[in-house]
Amino acid sequence: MSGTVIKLKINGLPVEARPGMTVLECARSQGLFIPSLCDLEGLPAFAGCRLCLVEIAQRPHRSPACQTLVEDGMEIVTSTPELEELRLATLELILSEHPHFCLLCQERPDCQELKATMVKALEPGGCIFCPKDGDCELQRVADYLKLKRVAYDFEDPGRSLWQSDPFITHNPNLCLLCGRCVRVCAEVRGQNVLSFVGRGPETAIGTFLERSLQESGCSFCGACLDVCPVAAFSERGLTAARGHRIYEHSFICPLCSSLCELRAEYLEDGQLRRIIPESGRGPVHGLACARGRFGLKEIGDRKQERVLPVLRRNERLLTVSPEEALAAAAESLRRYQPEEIAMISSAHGTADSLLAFYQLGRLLGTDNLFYFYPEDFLERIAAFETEQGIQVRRKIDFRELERYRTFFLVEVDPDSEALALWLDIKKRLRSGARLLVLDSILNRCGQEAAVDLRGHPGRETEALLALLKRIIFKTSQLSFYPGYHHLLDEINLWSEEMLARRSGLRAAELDRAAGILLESSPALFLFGQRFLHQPRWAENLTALWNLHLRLESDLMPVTGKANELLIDGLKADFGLRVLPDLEPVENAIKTEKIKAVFAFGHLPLGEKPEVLIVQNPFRAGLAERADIFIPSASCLENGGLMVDLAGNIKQRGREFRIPGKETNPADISLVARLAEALGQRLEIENYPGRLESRLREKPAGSKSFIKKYLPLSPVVQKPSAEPEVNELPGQLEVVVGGNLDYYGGLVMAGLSSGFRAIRNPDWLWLNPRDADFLGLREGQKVALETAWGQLNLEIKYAPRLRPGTAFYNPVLDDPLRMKLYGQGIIKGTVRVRK
Amino acid sequence: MTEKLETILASLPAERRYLILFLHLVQQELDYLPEEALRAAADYFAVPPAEVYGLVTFYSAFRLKPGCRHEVTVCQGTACHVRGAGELAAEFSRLLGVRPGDKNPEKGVALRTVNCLGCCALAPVVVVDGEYQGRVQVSKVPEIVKKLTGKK
Repeated sequence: MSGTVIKLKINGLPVEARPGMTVLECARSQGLFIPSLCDLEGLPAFAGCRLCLVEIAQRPHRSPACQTLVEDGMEIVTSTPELEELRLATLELILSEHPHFCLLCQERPDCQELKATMVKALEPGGCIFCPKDGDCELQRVADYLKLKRVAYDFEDPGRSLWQSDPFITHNPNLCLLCGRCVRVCAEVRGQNVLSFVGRGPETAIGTFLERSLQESGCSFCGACLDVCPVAAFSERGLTAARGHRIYEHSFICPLCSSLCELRAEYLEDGQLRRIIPESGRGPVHGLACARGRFGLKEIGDRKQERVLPVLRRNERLLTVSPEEALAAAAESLRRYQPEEIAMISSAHGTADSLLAFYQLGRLLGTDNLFYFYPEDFLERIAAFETEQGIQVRRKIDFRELERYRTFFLVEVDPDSEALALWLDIKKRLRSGARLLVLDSILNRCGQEAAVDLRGHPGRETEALLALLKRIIFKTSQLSFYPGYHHLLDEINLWSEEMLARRSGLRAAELDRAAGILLESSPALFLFGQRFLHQPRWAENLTALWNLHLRLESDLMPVTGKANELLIDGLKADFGLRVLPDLEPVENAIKTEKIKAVFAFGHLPLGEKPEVLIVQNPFRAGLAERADIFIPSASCLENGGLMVDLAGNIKQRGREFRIPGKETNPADISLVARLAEALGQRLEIENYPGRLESRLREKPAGSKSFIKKYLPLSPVVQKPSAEPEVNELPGQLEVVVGGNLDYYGGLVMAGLSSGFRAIRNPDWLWLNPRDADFLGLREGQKVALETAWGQLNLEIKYAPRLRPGTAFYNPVLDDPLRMKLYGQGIIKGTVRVRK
Repeated sequence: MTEKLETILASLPAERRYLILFLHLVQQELDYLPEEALRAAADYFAVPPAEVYGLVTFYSAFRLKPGCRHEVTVCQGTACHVRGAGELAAEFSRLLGVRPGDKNPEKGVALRTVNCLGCCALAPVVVVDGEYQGRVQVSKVPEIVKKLTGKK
């Protein structure tokens, strides 16, 4: 099928096309322009604007090119005087509901320089302030069709603007109803926030009960901004492009394991205009989320002024040059014995700068090389593998996703933790694959799931065993991996009814999920760090392993952070140790075993050593307490190598040339210069090859493992051993998740009220029913009391959250939050703060 | 209300094509479609809430607010339109003191216009408190209004 070629003629010229291509795609691939406003590569066809009508021989009617598939022997004409006349008439009809003064204005040729006419569109300022001016698809189509007049009076619908949301505004009066935003929101992103509402002339883009985007559960991924052909959806406060020279800089967002390629646009004065996804294949295929495009924008705004190095001398802070700071750092490191020095890195560094950092540590001779890794995710998996003698795959191969007919997400929300993966899964769902979700907290992907299993937190083992038991008894098929008979004996100890009750799931939904797993195989089980970040993680993994083996499916972890897959290689290369929390270092500082700490990035370090050197893009967080602060380029200005969740190396050049904007050196060159100051040389030029070979390497002895069922009894608590939990009245089970909305010691929600409005790390998510029961309202300031201490939080409603369960995802910037995150699931009581 | 919704849901298979039927049943039962019903429908039929809302706003048969004691519906379909449905609606609006799509709580009357009632042979059609009246002339409107507001 894929090999066949379709032969057809467009405008008399013989053309070849692939089956499944639309006439519009085929014409475009030949470099032909057919006007169109609603079609967009990657979105399902809509045929709403009717501008792409073409003539096809033997067909009585003109057909929309975007919805007509190519056929052998087709003869297509894309442009005739009649067609163009028809298109022009259609465009005029479209324009009867869209302000079009900017398309017809007499002053248009001089507009850029003279700005002669102030009132052009609806508002004063009109097209001068229209952020789409010069980049508007309607303008392009009008130019192509040589629009001279519009036969109809423009009727101003006078709808009010959406102004109450941060980052995104919508002007319904500019909307063409092309439906791109609706399609991208539902079909590509799976957010389902937007829809057409009303009918006939009243039709508009709307949300559920016309609520604000925030209240509608919008994730602010900004895809609607990217696809809107006009300025109906536009980024808040965006400077119009016309009249400005725009400097673009591509970079990789280091904030999660997707490593999306983004593009920052700067104005002449060095001001960051906006951040958009970089995509060679059009806006639909671009990857970006609120964190990367709006969160980093706030961070980029902070970078307006250059951050300078700071030295603490005799309790006074001095601003110095980078050379002086590096010399001071070298001098301090020389002053101590190797064993008195600790070097710790946090996430967000590029892979090559991590190599440089640890190589420097090796050259200094210190054994105290640490990688701060609060998730502890791959470490736990590795420990489990050693214990059980099995092996779990690490790298997600995107090409293999096509193979699976069911995706089972276990405590992972790729929509917010690994966007690239989610969009690929969404594609598979569109072509018929099924989605199952097991999660005790809010999981955006759950909306798209055939069965969304919202179980009791900490009882994932029971939920998975309940599924396993159903699957075992629904099929007569045997499994031939060792240990199956033992597993059958063991699973009989649990009754189906008890497993369902303890997991907090209904028998019917478990039945449906089991049914789907059986009927559409193979399945891919994907689990995230929350699945292992709880006291019973080993039980969870045992149950999941057995379930996946019984279904002959695949099992893979989803790493949430950049370079996570590199940690093993770094361990082997440099003998570094992984720290889930900083307590060991803090203790060593207290007992003066460690006297100097060189921190790479921000760390929630509680103790201050004699000398603290911090290399970070901002003087924020730990850097504020540093004796020597070495500022580096931020991820927006930096290039380098990074490793994503598929184990691929992503690379961007380091060149950053925006006039009027000076940047600090990249991390890697700072480390190299520091090494020079210490009389050492780093082999930076070898790093790409070194990374490549590290990532390709198979784990040692991978062939000797056989697949086998894991016995439950040594790991999983016996059904009788555990009494039912007696909860105190008013006590909540709080799942503490990880938060990725920070960079370089800066918390996005702390920088911007807009970001705080959409994603506040101090929210305590509650089901409104629970809130009612506890006498709480949304927005109320509360204190959450836990066994480890008290937190000041704000109530946030989450109607989809399971009653009885609360969710909190703090940025890990203090010891208490670290502690709670380390627990994974805690109990707490909520009190109103006066 | 929750129980009523759940009873109705329980009587329908969880398939998308029963969504409209569900909404009709709820409106019959509760007189309008409260937010809770839309959310329950979205959850049960696995249709995004925004889409449920889009559907409800598309069909004029559905309403999101409680109705009135009396209700006048004036058809604006093509056949009715050419037979003067526009003037009919305007006359009702004038006499009832209510704009189409609005209600007058004092008189307890709601007036609305719909796109087609499917009985074009009777055009222009007006539905007064559920009773279809065909070939209504503007001159008959005062009588209808008097009957309506008089009967209370």
